[in-house]
Amino acid sequence: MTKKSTSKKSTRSFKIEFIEESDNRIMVLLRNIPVTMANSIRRVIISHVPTLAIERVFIFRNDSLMNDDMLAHRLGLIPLTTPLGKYALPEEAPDEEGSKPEYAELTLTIEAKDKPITVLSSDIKSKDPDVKPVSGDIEIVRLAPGQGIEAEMWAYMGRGKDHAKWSPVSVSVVRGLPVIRIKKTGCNKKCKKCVEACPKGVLAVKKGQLIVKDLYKCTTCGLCMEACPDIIKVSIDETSSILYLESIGQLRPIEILSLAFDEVIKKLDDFYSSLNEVSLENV
Amino acid sequence: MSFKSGRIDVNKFLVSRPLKYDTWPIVRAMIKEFGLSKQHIDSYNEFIEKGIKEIMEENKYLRILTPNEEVVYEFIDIWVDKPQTTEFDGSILDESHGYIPSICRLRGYTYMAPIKVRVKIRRGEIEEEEPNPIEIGKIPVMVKSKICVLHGKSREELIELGEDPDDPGGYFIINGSERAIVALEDLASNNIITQKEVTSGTETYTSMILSVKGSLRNHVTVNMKKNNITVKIPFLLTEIPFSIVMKALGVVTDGDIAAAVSRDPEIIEELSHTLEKYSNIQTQDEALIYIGNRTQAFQQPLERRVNRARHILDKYLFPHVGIGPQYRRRKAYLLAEMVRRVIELKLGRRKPDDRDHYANKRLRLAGPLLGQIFSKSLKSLLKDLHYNITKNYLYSTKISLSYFVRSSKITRRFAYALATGTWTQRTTGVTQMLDRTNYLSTLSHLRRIQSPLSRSRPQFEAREVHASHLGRVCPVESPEGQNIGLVKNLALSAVVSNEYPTELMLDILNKEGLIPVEEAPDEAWEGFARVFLNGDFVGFTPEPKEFVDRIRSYRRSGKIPASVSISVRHLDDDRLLPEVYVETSNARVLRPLIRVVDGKPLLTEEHIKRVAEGKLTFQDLLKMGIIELIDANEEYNILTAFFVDELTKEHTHLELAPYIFLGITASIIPFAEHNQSPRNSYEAAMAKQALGVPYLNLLFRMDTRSHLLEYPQIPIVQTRVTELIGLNDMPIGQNLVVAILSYESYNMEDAVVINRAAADRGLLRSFFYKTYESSARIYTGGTSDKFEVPEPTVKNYIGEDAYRNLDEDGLPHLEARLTRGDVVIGKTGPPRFSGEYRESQFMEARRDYSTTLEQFSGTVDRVVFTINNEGELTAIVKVREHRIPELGDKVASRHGQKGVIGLLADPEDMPYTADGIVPDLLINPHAFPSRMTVGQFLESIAGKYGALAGRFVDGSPFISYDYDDLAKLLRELGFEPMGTEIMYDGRTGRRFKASIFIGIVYYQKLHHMVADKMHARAHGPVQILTRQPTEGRSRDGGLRIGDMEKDVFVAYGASSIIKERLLDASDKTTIFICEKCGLEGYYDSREKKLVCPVHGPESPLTPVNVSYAFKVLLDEMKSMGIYPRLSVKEVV
Ligand code: SF4
Ligand code: SF4
Repeated sequence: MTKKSTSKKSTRSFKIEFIEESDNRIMVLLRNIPVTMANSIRRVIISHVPTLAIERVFIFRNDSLMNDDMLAHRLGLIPLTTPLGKYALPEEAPDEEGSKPEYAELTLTIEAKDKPITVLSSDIKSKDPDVKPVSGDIEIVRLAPGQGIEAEMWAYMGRGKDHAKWSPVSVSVVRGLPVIRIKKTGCNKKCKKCVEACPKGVLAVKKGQLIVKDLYKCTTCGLCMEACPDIIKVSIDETSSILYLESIGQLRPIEILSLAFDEVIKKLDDFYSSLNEVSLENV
Repeated sequence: MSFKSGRIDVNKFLVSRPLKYDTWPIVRAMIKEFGLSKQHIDSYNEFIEKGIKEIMEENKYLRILTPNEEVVYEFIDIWVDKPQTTEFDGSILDESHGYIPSICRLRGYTYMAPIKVRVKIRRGEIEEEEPNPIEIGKIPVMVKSKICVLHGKSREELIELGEDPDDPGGYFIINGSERAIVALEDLASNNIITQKEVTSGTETYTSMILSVKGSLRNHVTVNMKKNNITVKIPFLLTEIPFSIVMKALGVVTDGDIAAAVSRDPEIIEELSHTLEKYSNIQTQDEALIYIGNRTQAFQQPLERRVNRARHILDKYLFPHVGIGPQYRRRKAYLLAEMVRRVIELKLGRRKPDDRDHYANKRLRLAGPLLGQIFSKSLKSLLKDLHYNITKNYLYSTKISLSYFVRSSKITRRFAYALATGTWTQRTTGVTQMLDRTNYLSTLSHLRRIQSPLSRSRPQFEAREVHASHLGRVCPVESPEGQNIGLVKNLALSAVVSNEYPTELMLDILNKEGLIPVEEAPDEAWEGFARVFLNGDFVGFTPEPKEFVDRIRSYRRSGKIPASVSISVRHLDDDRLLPEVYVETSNARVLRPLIRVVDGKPLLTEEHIKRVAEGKLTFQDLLKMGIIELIDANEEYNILTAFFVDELTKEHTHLELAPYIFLGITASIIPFAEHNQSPRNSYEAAMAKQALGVPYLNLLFRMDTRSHLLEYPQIPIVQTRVTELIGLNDMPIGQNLVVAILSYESYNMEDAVVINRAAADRGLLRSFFYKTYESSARIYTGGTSDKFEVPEPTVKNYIGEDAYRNLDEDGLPHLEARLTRGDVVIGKTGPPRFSGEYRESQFMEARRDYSTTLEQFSGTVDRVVFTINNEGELTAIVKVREHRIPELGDKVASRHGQKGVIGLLADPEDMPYTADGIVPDLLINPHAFPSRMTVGQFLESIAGKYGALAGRFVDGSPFISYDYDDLAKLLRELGFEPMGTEIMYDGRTGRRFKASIFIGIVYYQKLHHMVADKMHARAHGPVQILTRQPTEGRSRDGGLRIGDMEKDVFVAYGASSIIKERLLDASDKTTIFICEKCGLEGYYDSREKKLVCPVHGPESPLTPVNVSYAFKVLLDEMKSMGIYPRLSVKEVV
């Protein structure tokens, strides 16, 4: 792929197609957006989309075998549902009147009575009904009879750049669009070597035709090409991007995506305005 | 599948390659029955039960000759009681009062038990028994031995006692610290070792026996130089001609002597020279006089000389044969046997014995080692008693032994030896501080073997792996450097033999047609096989092969212990007569093998199944003769197959399992057989430095330093042994997603890149615990230290801020955050030096003795307040530090691939796969070609499969999956069979051209961490004498500009830098030189003048900048009477 062709193609119109969407995952095809550009969105998703996470833990009682340090760390890693816009972002200065609250308060008070228990994330009580652990069965610590934990936790908005606990996604991938070219002639459609070679089950023979069953599963590994180099050619088109992300649960995938775009735009705006300042000064 | 409660049963989720003949249940049964520190515990138990009695037998009588009568004390019984000690206040402390190992560790006690004796006193005609047993001393108790309070306790009971239920035991607790005895690898005792030595052209043939009986250890050597045969006997000043020794032993005529050696004319010919040369000595008496003249008693009357000679021959010549005159003939035959071998060696019929062969090695374990000390200290105690009783006899009528025994003598000697490891002046380092870095290192330490050979000499043969090590000593695990090959470890399969009484064995031999030496007819001497029982020449047998088979059948039917070895040598050598060796001694290293008859193993699938179900034990199999324990001697007579499909009709034995010849540490390496061998050795060394869970009783221990891995994980790819030794309960690493990929230059030269997000989420985090201890000393004169927050008026007060974490009792509260320089334990006391007394008379006469945190900050984890064994209040504070992986921390895989963290990369910068998998760690591909650790690739693929399938994968060496299997498994799950994947660059989102190898590899965090080593200083303390900066991190020292560094500046011509570093920034000082005499002057502050000590204030003095060390040199020269004159000149 040469530079020339990239620039040519990228002038074509953008198009976004949703390939897959569910509660916690999303796959979109960004047609005519080169991977390098889509990647900036991916990077922003990982490290700049803000979420809520426990940042301060006040431990009043901890009889468990787990050290306070480790307990606090574990609490911090519990993903919390994040009501957008309700809490102040780290860069928003908390001012007195009517401003957003800085943090959400949560508490954990539990004691094992007569048999050992496992403290789960569902045992965490929150003052704000909008803020609660994404999943109720995250194990925190085990307590023997008579042991207990009493802690107050403050959850702050933050970004993955500072700590991975604020990262809203477990998976975020940007990659070029696979291109599988099958020569019409020469394929006997019977040996199926290429079909067997593909670990992802992308190829199939249907109605006597070799077809691409599921293009988006193709990793462009080229094993099919190795099996039948004369007929199959696999390449990657990096002028279009597949963006795939799996949310941890603080935010819905689509929210993450739109926040990411906002962040990118904000960054560009910042860049643009500082550029302006610099150029003005230089005049 | 859910792992909600408790422990994961790894075996349930383990996928292994199906094997035709899988002996795993047998291996498991063996280790479970024997335990991992069995050799030490057995040896200690043997000593407590038998050894100690034998030593008493040697010193049975204490005779006191008084002017009017003889008093004889006879020890009639000796035993070791339950653990018990005396508290500082004199009260008795035993199990019911908390004298248990966990408390001993905490309070700094020595865990020991009293040795008690029962004594009979004979005084003229009167004979009476002392009514009460007498304590003669205390012996340290081996944890988990028979007398230990933990012996036979269930897991629950052990937990109740504050113990780790998985602790192997086999070590001692001395002053609160755990000491492990490292087994000494000795040359086998009571065995004839024949060798050839060439020194400056002359050949010497020697035959040597180290004869051991009880505490007697004597070398007897037969030397043959040219044709002169001499014998070296201990306590004789010179070597004695062979013929004279024989005559002294009662074999008088030349014919008899020759006949005792051999009937072969060629051999007798070699003897003739010695016989003729000393033919002037004819009779036994003459021979005894000859020997007596060469004893230390040579100046004494004839009778004493002869008696001395007799005594030496009866006691110090071959004590293992027997002590007393009745054994002289047997000893003569043994000596003749040694001579025969020397001659055979000279004639080239016999090969020299191999000293490094494991048949000629014995392990000296805890029992005999303690016996050595006990015997010595008992003798010295008896000597003292003798002296004291004799002295007191005149004044007192008290004769009860209890009145004179000072039991602290033996107690102290034991404690000293174990605490320092000093046995004799030459044998040091016998005990070591038990390695508690992780569970594996503890186990490995308890199975270590040390060779007493010198470290500094090359001794290549002794360091090499010997064929006879197979199954006995691990061929992989040995340290690098000067100790290589001298420090070894027991193989997993190694079993150390226990003793079976020689007399019982002799009975069996006699029953099976042994012709005793004394009664042997001439034909036996001419051509029968000679039989040796524990090195003693006991007789002959005409048909050695059948004889050996008959004796072996005793062992195979369980009538004698499995550890008895029966072997025959030189069976088909027509130049040598066959020799049958029967060994029942202890400390031989054995290994289990499956017997094979007609090419079929006796161990059937049925047996394996029944063992797996617990219906049959390993011991049963030994008794049934299905599995045999083979020592290196018997290995001469067997043919062993490694794998079951290699069996032929000729084979007699089959390896129990192919992977158990490795030691414990080497056994945890998956796919070890695919690695270049030194890499396995490196890993065996590194696994002992990995952080993990050192013990389960963390709450009951206050070790000075310890580490704890925050999220230890069971390895996905593991060997069967990992589970067996219990390492899955106390793992030493984590499963990391590892991609083999260079990343800018951040992972060059063995560095690794770690994903910062992974580190944020808890990857490779650990806790470091450090303990501070302080006791409130009680001084003579009624003053004592006190724990408190010192008043500002106290001398050496550090400053209010430093004490802020202390409560009024002088101890910090739990979870208090301490930083560098803070006080952990606040303590004041009276000034200790008299000088300070005077000075502080105006002030409150107290001084601050607080303990401060140096080079370290952390959180107070635990505070223990106790009374130590001297009755002083003691505070122990454990402080923990949270260690998050940082640049420079050391990590290693299980294949000797170590590296330091070169970068904590942001998650968005890390490469990713199409599925969105981001590696935790990036290792550089250059780490592989030269090191050839193919095992890591296989582990990576297997780990990937295991993670995807939710299974553990069996990577046991020699029996696990090969690449093709793994590729197929991976392919079935929809992954590229090679273990590679297409990856994308996190910085650009573009595809990497090549496929990247990515998988799951178990990584260990090693205890070399930057936080312990990082150090820099701008200014700081200086040494008092030279005023140069101190050295070392612990003293906040400067960084040295050494001679090499200096050379760099010299080469560059940077003279100012040299001056600045070596003078200005170091010990620059100004001295004043008298221009007249060149001596150093001084400044008189009263007169405000510079003064020369010789010429007074009038003389001109010039200031000169010199190094303070130079000034010290001048002063020292002056003190020696040398006049160092400095001439000063103006430099323009
Ligand atoms: S593309 Fe090649 S391998 Fe595939 S079915 Fe056709 S001929 Fe066979
Ligand atoms: S490139 Fe790989 S994943 Fe894509 S179709 Fe070919 S074999 Fe399948």
